[in-house]
Amino acid sequence: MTQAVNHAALLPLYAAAGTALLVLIADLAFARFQVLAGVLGAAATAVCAVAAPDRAATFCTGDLCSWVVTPRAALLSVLFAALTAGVLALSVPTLREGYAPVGEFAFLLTCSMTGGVVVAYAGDLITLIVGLETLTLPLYILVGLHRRRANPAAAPAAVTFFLISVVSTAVASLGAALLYAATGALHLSELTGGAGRFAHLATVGAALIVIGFAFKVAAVPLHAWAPVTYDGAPVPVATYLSTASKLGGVIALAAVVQRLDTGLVVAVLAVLTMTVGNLVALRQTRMVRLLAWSSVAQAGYIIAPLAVGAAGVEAAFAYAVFFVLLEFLAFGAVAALRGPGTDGGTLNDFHGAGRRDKWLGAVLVLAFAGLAGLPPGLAGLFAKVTVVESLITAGWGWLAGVVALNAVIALAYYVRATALLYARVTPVGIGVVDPELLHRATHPRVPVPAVVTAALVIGAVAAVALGFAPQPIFDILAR
Amino acid sequence: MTVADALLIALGAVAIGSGALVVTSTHLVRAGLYLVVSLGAMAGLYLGLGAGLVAWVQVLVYVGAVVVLLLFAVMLTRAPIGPSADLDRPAWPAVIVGGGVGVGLAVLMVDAFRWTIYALPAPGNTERMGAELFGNWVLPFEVLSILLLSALVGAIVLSRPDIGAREGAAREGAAPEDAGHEGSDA
Amino acid sequence: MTMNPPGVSGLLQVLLIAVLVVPAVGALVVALLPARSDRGSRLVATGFAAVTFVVSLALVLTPSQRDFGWFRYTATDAIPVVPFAEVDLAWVPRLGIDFHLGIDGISYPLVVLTALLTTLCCAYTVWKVPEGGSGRTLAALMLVLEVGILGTFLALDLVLFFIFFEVVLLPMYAVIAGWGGVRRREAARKFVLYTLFGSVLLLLGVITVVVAAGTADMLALAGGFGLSRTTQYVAFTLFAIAFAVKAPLWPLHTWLPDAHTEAPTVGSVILAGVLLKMGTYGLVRVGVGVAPEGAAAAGPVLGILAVAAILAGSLICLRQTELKRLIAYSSVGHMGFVLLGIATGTAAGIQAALIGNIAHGVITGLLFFLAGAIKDRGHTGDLADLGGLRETAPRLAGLLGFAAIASLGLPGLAGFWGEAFAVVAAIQRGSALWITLAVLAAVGGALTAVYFLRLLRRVTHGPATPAVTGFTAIARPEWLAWSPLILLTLVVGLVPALVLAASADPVAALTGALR
Repeated sequence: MTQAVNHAALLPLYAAAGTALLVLIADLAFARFQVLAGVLGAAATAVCAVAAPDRAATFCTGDLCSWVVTPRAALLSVLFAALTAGVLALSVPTLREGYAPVGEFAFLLTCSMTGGVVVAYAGDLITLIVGLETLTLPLYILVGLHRRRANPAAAPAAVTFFLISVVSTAVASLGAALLYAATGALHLSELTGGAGRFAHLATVGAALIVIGFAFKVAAVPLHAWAPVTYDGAPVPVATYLSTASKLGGVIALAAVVQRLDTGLVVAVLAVLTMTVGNLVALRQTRMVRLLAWSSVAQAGYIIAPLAVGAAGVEAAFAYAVFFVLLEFLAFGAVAALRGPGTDGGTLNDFHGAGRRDKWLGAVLVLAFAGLAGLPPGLAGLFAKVTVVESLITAGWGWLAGVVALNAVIALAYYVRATALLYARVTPVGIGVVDPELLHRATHPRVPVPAVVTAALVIGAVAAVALGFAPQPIFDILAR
Repeated sequence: MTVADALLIALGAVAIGSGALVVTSTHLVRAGLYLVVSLGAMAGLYLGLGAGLVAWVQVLVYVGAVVVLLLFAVMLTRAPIGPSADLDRPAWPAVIVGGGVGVGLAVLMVDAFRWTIYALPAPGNTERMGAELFGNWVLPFEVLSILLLSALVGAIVLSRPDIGAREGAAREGAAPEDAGHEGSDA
Repeated sequence: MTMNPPGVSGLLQVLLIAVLVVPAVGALVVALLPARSDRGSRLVATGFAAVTFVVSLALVLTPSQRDFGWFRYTATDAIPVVPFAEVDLAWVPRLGIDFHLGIDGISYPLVVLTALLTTLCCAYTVWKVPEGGSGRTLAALMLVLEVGILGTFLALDLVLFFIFFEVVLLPMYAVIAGWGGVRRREAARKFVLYTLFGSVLLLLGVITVVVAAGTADMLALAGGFGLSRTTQYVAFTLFAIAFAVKAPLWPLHTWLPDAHTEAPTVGSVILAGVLLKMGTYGLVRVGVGVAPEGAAAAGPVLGILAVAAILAGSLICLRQTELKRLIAYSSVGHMGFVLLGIATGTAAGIQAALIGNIAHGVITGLLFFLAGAIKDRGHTGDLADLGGLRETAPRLAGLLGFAAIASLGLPGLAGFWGEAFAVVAAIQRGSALWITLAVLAAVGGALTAVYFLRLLRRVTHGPATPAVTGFTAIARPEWLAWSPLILLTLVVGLVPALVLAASADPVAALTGALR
């Protein structure tokens, strides 16, 4: 009567959930080491993800399983764990300032990681939606969490995010229900379009599921929450939102798109997302809003190969992996340059920042170049090549052309932001003091704590290494 | 048309009507009470379809816990009890979108199922629910527990600004001496 | 995909990889050196650039044991392209990218020219740093540019070609935006956006070919590899537009005058000297090499646009009032001759294009160096303010005259061969259209003479204006930087075989597929 449980296959889930509980216990018992516990637990989750037996599946009814272990799922879990550890490291200076209670903050982040791990291994729609909700619910709270009312934009950001997110979950659940009513299938491996009279119902159900998941990815026209939320949240939380939360949405979309015929809806979403995201980003004056709109556009590049169906899933995931790494670097460098407890600031706040702090400037240039698809961000270039190649192979050349043109539009704002980093101070009027000296005195360099440096260094090394040797990622995603 | 069909239609009408009243009412408390009616009608629908456990869970959780929580929140935040002008009513675009979606879904359902007569499955009593849940859907059930735990902790930490503030204040006060020992809580 | 293509000695393979690795390592070393020793870092950069130049010469001069009678199997009967040094390593099999480098008769002059110009520019930077940033960063950026440009000329895998094509974008943007003139930001932004537009079209074309043919190896694809006619037409259109932006070909040239005018002297030299050649080389190697049917069909259109470029460039030059801008527009005209040569699709035409490339690189590089020298001393580039240079700085005036006359195509100097034989190749095509184009090109060539002589009359002759008085003498570092270029202009003009010696076979391979 009950389902058989393969505990070895469930190791990543145990590790992730265990991390969350460990953080809570560390907070209760010692009132210290919470972030350390979180980082170590995330590392353990990554190790368990690699160690879980390949092709194992558990919680099955007959052939249909709710938890499926594949190399791709393992890679994505490792990515979630790494992102959680990285964001925990980035938030250490903010937490030291007393911004939020450390234990609860770390606990919520690790719960989110657990949700991400569930999404990666999910084998049916219910587990997928539950996992997605577990991934994003702690983020509603993290966005709005602030002790000193330093950021009045946080509360509206949290409420906007919360409302739109629950609506999207409801829409996705409705879609899943309609699909179940039409086909009787909930497990991913047996999803099909409906037959006969139920074809329309199944199609609408599939479309609703795609729309619900598209909210999570911030695809246009369901994107309005992203800039507001990213700007109101503290920068480490915005980092997690734009990387892990987006990755979860992409996994969910890919799972559905692989087996249902949703090409038209996804193609329209992709084109709108890319174009609107890039065009609006051109007009942004605040750094985090610029990054938010740019990540909206990048989501468009990720879902473009999904329009092709199962053949494009590998390219979409490859792009997602490279994108997540580069986005983490971009947000992380912004967080480090701005200092703890602040929001992202306007673009002018970064004037000459690359000269003040050469290494952080270099990391930010690497991230922007990669997001734009140019060397030295070779990882980003390979990502774009992969997407274009999968689209042209599948015969969707026109979509590849749209992706290419959007890359040109995107470069305009990436280059503007990069140029600002290295801009010289222009002396205005009669100079009494050396303008460089004055600028340096009024814009002191923010000291960067060791944990943040470590997180950024590891991320940058990974990005450069993947840029020169991307083949292992492709191998894992193809299996 | 059997008695069950008539009951379902009546309860459905009650649910939709009171739902409409929730979003159009100008009194916050009245909106909460209309919500009770609407959710209670939903519970009745479940009962009519034979899902006893779900009906009682609906009453317990939604009507009992959620709506009561709503009313407590209204009371504790001293929200206006009388008519409030800034409770905005759905404007024409919202009505058109909502109505359109509703009509569209209804048409879709009718088109898919037509006048098919389905034999009612076995009633969804506790035993059957348990068998289904612990026989086929154990994983989401357990993951939901993590979701609920994080929601619980999050709700508490959001609503109690004093958690962690003592540490922050103490650290701020002791900051000059502690400048060298920054790694203690990491 | 062998590590050891048959017949290539290990020494040549090491040299081939070294020519890319040395500047890359150099850039890293210079960037990591402490900021205090700025001049020392620039000397180190020049050292690395010089080593690269020596390696490139060694690469060209080391005898290759390759048996050129060895025919590589291709799907068609085309004559194979056989590089005399080759390296082939698997890199990203999923995307079909191999680290496949090679050098043959078409690319070796460009490789040597790139290494030479980079060395000269780094040496110039040791002596004089334009204002806007540390010279050390500028030198490091030049080394990175060198890696990108050399990689483009050496790549024998289509996607690798695209990657190296992209490498030059950001460093060139940084050079223009960091050390440029007054309106450098807009000029740099225009440059980078235009060039990326061309690059993405190149990507689309490359992927189309790779997907249709199943391989990205340029040697295997040479001659069309049995790609369908439609694919070749589509691919060539995309390639042509992409390379037309880079070359540049009228009407996609509008980024060039601003970029050249606002860039610092060394930036303009590299930009005009070798960056533009990436476009024409790409058109020959990738456009004509991989999609010959498309090239044959598009020949007339390209020819018309090339002649329009020659005429437009000349006519616009007649109205220019600023020195660097005039030289920039003259580049448009010269590239028009090169593209006319490619468009004819004959062996003579492509060889004219190859030597025109080198000649333009050397002569315009020299012209930009001289313009930089004049602007630095006179603090103006406005032709109205400059005059009577031969009275105050006779040597400088003489060099300017030499460079201008070389540029307008005087026989005996390098510029003559490219222009003359492009016209001859057009006439050889025979049809009414081509003969008309040849005549118009000749008229354009005459107009070139007009505006250059006008330039000389304005700047060197006439009464000395206040701006040119007090010109310091030419410094030794400047002589050091300019003399190789002066020498090459003379030598290539007298002995074009230096450039064209080994190009007969590869060009025959290309044009054979065109028939």
